[in-house]
Amino acid sequence: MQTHVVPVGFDYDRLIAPLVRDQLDVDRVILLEGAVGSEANVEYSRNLSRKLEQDFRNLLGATTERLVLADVYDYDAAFEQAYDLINSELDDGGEVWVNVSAMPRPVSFAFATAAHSVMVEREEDREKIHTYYTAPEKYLETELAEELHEQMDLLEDLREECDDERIEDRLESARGLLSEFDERGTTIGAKRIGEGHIVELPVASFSNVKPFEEFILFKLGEDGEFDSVSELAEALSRELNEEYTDSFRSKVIYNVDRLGPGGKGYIEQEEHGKSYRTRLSRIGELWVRAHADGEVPERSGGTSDT
Amino acid sequence: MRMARFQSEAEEPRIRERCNRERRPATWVGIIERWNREMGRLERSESLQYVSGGVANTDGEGRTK
Repeated sequence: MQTHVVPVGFDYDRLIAPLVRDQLDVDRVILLEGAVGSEANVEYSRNLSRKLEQDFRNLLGATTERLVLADVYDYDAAFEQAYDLINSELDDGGEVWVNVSAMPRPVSFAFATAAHSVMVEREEDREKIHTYYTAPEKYLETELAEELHEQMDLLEDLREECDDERIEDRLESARGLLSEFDERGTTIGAKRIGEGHIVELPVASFSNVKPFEEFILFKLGEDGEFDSVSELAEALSRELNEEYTDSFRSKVIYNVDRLGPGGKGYIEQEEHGKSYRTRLSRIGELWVRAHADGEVPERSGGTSDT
Repeated sequence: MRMARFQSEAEEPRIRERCNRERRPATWVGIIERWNREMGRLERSESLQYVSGGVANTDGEGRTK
């Protein structure tokens, strides 16, 4: 079973044509649609996704599934979704192809990094995971701009012969648009995302963890920051019904070092007097998020974690 | 010195929820099972079962020992 995972942005050809031209086997396609942005953009992307769904079925005989990717700027959520999707397809015995050509970069990097993380964690399935890119033959923006220029010339000629204020309105609008296109390129402004305007992309991939390391990571995830490694060690010993001895403390220090910046990078520490405040790093948070099972019991009130 | 981080403050409550054992009991059962197996305290046929506030040993057929 060859499964293609395809985030859909504003492209059609480059998501399907290369697979037809290179005669790749495509048994199943998972199309991901973004749900954030202007209504027009979301609808445009959804229409492309519908067309892709139809053509993957008709041209390649694939089964298809369409999923929603809630926020195309939320790297962590995209990573988690990609990680779960890839693992699930591998669990079903499939080979997975991840197309990172469309959608905003946080999604592309999240999907590529998740694919690499699964490769690291599932060594026996490494050959079954592929991340790929496809390039368009040409971009339409410049052609649209050229065409708009031509139509402005035509409207200016028509204005001489016909007194219709709609012509002036259209000319005004086209002039403004082309002026912005010439000055700024194909995009305008910088969107506020969360607290700022920058989305940090933790592109480091996962490395395998041992049971004790896993325990430490989830304990840090559940409790947040510890003021020192000793406090963390005491908490872990209570948790495991182990006597808090020097030997146990050394074991925790050793494992925290292995998980720290000089090792796997899942933990970060800040010097504070003689102690080291210890907490999960961003990639550590991503790891616990990806490795937490999905079940969430019903409860009243509170915030959603989706 | 800790590196500047983005989104971390907003992310923390979400991570705590992900790691909360009452909300993700299967995750914690898995963690404690793997730890106990590594320490040789849990046989292959044995599994653990979540009971409120903790994890109990079972005989692999769902019965709490």
